[in-house]
Amino acid sequence: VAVVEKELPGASAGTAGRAPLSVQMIGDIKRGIIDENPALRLVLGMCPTLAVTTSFINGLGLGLATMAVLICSNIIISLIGPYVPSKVRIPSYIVIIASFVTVVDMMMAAYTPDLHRVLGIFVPLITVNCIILGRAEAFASKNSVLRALADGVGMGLGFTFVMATMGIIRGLLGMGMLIDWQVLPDSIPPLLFFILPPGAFLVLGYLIGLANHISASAEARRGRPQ
Amino acid sequence: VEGGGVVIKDIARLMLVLTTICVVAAASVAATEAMTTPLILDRKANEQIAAVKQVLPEAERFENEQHKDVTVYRGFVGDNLVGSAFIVAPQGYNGPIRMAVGVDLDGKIVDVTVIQQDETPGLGTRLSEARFINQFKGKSGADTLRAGADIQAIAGATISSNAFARGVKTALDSHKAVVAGDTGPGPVEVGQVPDGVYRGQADGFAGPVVVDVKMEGGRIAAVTIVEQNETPAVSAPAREKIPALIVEKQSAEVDAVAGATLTSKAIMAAVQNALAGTAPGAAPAALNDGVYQGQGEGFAGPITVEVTITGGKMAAVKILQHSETPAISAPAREQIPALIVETQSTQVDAVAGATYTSEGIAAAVEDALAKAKQ
Repeated sequence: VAVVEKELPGASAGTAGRAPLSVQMIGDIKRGIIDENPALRLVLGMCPTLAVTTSFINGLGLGLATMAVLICSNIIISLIGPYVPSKVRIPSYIVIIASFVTVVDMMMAAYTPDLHRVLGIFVPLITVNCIILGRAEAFASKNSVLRALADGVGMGLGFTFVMATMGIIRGLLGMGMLIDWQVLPDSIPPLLFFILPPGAFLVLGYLIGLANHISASAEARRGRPQ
Repeated sequence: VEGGGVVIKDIARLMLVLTTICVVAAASVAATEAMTTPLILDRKANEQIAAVKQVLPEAERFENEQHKDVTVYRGFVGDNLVGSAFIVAPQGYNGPIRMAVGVDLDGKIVDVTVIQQDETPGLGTRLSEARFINQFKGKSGADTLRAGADIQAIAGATISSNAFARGVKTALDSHKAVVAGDTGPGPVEVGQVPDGVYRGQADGFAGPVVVDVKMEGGRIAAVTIVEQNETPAVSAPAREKIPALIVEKQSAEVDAVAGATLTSKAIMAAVQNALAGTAPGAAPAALNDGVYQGQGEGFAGPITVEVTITGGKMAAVKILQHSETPAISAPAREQIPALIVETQSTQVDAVAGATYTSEGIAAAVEDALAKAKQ
């Protein structure tokens, strides 16, 4: 039974199934950033994606915090996976994830207080970010530590990339700020709409559309129309 | 019976695994907490002190105390009090806005800074901009500090602006309650107070002291203590002498009775408060009956209003002409005229989302009232 389970994720990861470990890991990382980008393709973790991406630094900050928790929980869950009976696996994963989130939360409060203050409730809420539990359940618990690590890095980068991009777009349109510099003169009023919640939906919608368009053209080039 | 053993073994295993995980997790969280808590507390304290230093740059040394919800820092140079800073946290749009307000010995605001806030980025966060904060510098308890009156709210962030102004007001009130006495606001011009009986109150030694001040022909005719809770024997000399002394000197500032300083000061402050609201300007000047038109600048152009004065009071305010954005300005156009008539004042809170229109209507009504006073 164990052998069959081990092969399942390999199959889902495409041709990487029998390739050397390093190639599999690179594939895992790439998959998280592009093919299965959690925010754009899996459409997971929408709440923080919409709520905190009002500036580049906020998006990047929460993206990195989520990535830290994701990598740690993926590693631990991959290690203990075989020993946790399936009946208590969800509570076990949640306890592990919540502990990592609490640790990250306290670390941020101590070492990056400004960022911690801005992100507020969204740091504790990483616990219920479905990306993390989703990866624990779907990937980490069934794969080796190194591949779980690679998956955490890939998914984390993919999520962080989208968070930061949204922050840049919304900050530029809504406040006239490029990352941290005022680029629009005061005489040009920024489109405040983009800082407010509706702007978040709009930007995310266009990003998802763009991602779909890019992957569709890539498929077409490979001669495999969808 | 056979299956029972297996089930119990299973349950024991589930419990063992889950308990182990929880114990390890709790231990690592506890370790992190032990490591970070002192750092976090340290940072919070430093943040507050840094803000206090910023709003009271003169002071070299601080002493702090708690007054109700407000933390008061007295700033000293050597042994001389040079001012005080107040940490207040008015409720903003997204939660409390923690801010420090520096007040000098004359009760004037030196500077204000926001320590922590969760307002909407790009809107409420603009509270920290110099252009907004500078409006408050030099203001004192005598100012109304209302958006639309002597403070220009940040467009799109009316609620945050009002909260900020409320916080400054709270700080000035605390200044009056805690530090005043030796640095209270200047005396009211007694000669200009219209006849009548005015009630005022102030905190004494053991609770509020309420007084009635009778004004006749521009003079303080009588001061009566209506309510007090002071220690009977100790406060008696103050309660007997101070009201008489105030009438004799025609001033709310007289020498305190030794041994009952707090009660003395409370009576003086209560008289001061009773008369403070009556200064000319606060009392509306007589309005001539009639229908007057006035103009004010709104968001997209002039707003023309018609004000009907009946019996010396505003009976109706009607908007004749405007070029405001219809949907956005509608709440202001509906609520502000009614509010002005209801409160008989143009100093009404702006409608959130339509600050410019609200202020334009108020300005137009003021313009009309100026004509009614001629």
